[in-house]
Amino acid sequence: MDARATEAFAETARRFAEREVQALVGTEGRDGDLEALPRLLERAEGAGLLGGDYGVWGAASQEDGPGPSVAVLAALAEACAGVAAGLHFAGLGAACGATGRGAVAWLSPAWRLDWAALRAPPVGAVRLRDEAGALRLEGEASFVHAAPGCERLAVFAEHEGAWALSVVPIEAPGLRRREVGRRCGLAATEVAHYAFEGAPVEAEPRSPQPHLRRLLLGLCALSLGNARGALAAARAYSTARRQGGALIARHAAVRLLLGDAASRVAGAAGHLEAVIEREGPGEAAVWRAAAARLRISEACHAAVSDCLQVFGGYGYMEDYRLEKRLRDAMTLRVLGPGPDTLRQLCAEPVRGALR
Amino acid sequence: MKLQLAPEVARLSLGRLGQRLYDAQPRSIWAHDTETLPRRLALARHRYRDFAASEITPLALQADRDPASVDGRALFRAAARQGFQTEMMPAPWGGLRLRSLRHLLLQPSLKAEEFCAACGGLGLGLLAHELGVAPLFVAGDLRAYTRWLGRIYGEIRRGEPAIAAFAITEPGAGSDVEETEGAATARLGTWYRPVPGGYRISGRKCFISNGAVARWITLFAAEAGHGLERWTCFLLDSGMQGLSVGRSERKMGQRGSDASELVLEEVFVPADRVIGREGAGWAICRNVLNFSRPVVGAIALGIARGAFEHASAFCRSARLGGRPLCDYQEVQLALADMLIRLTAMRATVWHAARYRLPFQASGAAAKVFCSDTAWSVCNDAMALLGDHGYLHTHSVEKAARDARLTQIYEGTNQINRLAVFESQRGAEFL
Repeated sequence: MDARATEAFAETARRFAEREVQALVGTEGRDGDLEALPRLLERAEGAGLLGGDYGVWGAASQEDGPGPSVAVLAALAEACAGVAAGLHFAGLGAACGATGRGAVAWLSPAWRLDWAALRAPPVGAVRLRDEAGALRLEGEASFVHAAPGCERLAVFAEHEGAWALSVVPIEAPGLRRREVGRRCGLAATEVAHYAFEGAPVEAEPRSPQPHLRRLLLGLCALSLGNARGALAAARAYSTARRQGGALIARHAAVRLLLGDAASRVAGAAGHLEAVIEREGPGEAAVWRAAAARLRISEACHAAVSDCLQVFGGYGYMEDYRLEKRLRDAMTLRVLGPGPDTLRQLCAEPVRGALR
Repeated sequence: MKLQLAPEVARLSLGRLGQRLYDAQPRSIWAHDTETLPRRLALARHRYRDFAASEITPLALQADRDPASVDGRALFRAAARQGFQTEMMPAPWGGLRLRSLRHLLLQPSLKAEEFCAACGGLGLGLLAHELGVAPLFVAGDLRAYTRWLGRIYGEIRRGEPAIAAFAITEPGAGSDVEETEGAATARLGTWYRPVPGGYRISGRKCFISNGAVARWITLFAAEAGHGLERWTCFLLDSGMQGLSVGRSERKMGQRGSDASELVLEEVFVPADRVIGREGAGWAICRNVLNFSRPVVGAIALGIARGAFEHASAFCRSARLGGRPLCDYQEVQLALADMLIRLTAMRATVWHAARYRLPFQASGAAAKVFCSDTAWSVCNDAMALLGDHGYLHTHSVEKAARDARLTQIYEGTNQINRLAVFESQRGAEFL
């Protein structure tokens, strides 16, 4: 897809964010009006941002590449990373067959994400048990991220020594859900653990690698959009707030903070753009996405922190929403796969990854 | 590791003198550090830690989740019963022993680390009281010692929650009053004018720790029509007519401590409530910051240590791929790196506390180094826990949110860096 078409998607998302998301975030409450999220998601579907061929991670992204989805997610995250994350996780679910309000269940502390696990299911992965000709899911998947109102799960599970994908409604018998409780950021998403105790499903062989690639690129987009929003807010504040008899934008200390933040955001944007341009099948693309996720989430985390510092004490209070952005950045930096897992993935020499 | 290679076993292969030269005891750095302290301070360190474990830790998560549900005054009284809230001054005013004057800053630093390792917010609430009474102390005003400090400490000893607060920050002048260059052109918003028998003060103060719960407030105001050269410190009590509490801030972290706005509408303050002299506010404020900034460094150290302790406990109990997390070398490397940084932070704070009197560069440097390091330690601890890192229940993300404030209060770290240079500008560096 050409750059103009991608920009058109991003512009649609920006207008939607201005019209619908910013009002929801508001200035009241720790994370805005979370009660309004289900209605917001319906409107996102109506605006074509979620579901269908052209929604986030819709069928068109299989052909056109991740560019439009990444652009939409980054544009939404400029207003609220949590809302954008909800669309990201729902889109990932749909791309794996859990259409509507779906999510992907996969990772678990029972096993370690590395290249071996990406090629073949490790011990501890959710598995498919064959019982009188019917397949049943067994095992646990933890930290499943979803948009509010998750209805079904796409589950990567071991079957006959290989990865297989199946879809199961979360109301299905043999499936238990446990909420993770209060979290640091991304409050507009749901996170739960799932235990599979013989839930019946159908399955097809499928590698989790394309899913992981989309997951990582989407997380990059969320980090980038969140940091862009923080930078815009800090720039605006710096040209309105006076200190020491002058606008704070004139103070070297503030300019250094803004300069650091801006260069980090620019670097992150360039990195993500380069990875998308080089999108392709195979492990090299997964490797590049992992490297991008590691660097971009770190850079954007630091950029948001610098932007908060521009606000001084006011940045630490809920009113200006910088603290929410920092909580979101802190969460985005560590949620699975986190920095250490990404470093381990990047440590492996994968053919073509560095070229 | 095979048992015979363990240091405490290997040590036995040495002769008697060799064994005495080899400290192979499997003890914590905390225990080693405590051993370096004078006996009285070592005992105090144990008492602070015991108090934090029994009184602060059980309330920490609840205070963060729902600050209004925790009774800060009850915690203050519990600390006061231990003598912790009256130990800034020696007898006859406070509980500090004369010999301890040599360690004027070390004792509050030890207390700050222990309290804030349990909870940055509740710890701050207890420590901000000392900041509130600090102007009475640093003004060197014997009348203030006898009349006011003695009275405040007397109330505390009688079991009253006579909490103090320190009020300098204003909505339009946050950093200005913490930095020389900005101070010259500061747009102050709290003014006083002399009237028969005292003064009338009007204006607003914001982000005041303990503002809503304080019985006593050391508040700074400039004479109407003047700048900071006429800034003056007053001792207000919360019952004064015209003094009210405005909004209580909703903060990212350190939520267990109150931060509120104070509104002053023609508050009459009797003449004997001036601390030091009229116009001495700037000097008092600067010296209070010299005393308080190393303690902020200790607060940051404590918060980071809390994050480390929670992360370490998690890595000992959680399993990945069938093995405890702490069996993985990358986890050991990360935990070791945090310990190294904690050790460097403690060395910085204790070094700053060794000076006979704190000075601008020492306090600001300790504050900047420790708060920046605490932020990085807490974020690394979050990363170590993976997805568990952002869950409230593990306390690590709370520690990170708590730590972030230490880079902002008592002057942003940018202001503090300038303070370090300002105080050393004309000095010989080598």
